[in-house]
Amino acid sequence: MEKFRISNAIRRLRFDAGEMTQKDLAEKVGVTRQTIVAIEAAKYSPTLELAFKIARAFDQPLEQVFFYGPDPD
Amino acid sequence: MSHEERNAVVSILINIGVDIWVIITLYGLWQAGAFAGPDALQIWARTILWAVAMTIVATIALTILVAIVHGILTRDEDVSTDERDKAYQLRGMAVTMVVASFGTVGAIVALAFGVSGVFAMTTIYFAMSVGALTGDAVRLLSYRVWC
Repeated sequence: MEKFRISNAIRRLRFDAGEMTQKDLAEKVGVTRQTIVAIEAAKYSPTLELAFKIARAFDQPLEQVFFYGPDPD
Repeated sequence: MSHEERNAVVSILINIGVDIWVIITLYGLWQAGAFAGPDALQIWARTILWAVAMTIVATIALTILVAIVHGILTRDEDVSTDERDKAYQLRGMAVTMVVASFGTVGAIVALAFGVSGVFAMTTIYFAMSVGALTGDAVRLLSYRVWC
């Protein structure tokens, strides 16, 4: 059975937002910088609420920030 | 390393230290024959109460000390927690509960087969202690390895 995983475009969106730092994003959505690091590296899947907060921080719909697709590994 | 990761490390170190103290103290009392008399459980309980008190005091003191030293060394004074910390905490607690439950059931079974009350209570204490240690290790691994 094919494995699926959640990936994201946070790194690119931070770049597009004028090199927003992980710390800035963390402060905007109310989590620690380490959690943003883990989410960005797809090592931690955020709750739906946090995912919406991150999408809102970039002024993007959720599906432009997070993707659910086949695991390349 | 986040505040909660540091707390997990502090908790593991204190747990190991206090457990070593408990083992040495209980072994000394057992060799001196303190658990042979009718007040064996009271003597055991006083020892464990000291262990609990030491754990609480050491955890508070070391957590504050580590936070201060980390803040001075890295200038990172963030001690906040978030949903990831809570998720990993829950994962660790689940493991703690399983280990502690198995130990407690084991102690009850041992009691049914005639072991002393002190032996059964010691088994329960170490089941909880090893449970806490395992839970903290799982918490730490969640941050570092499993994510």
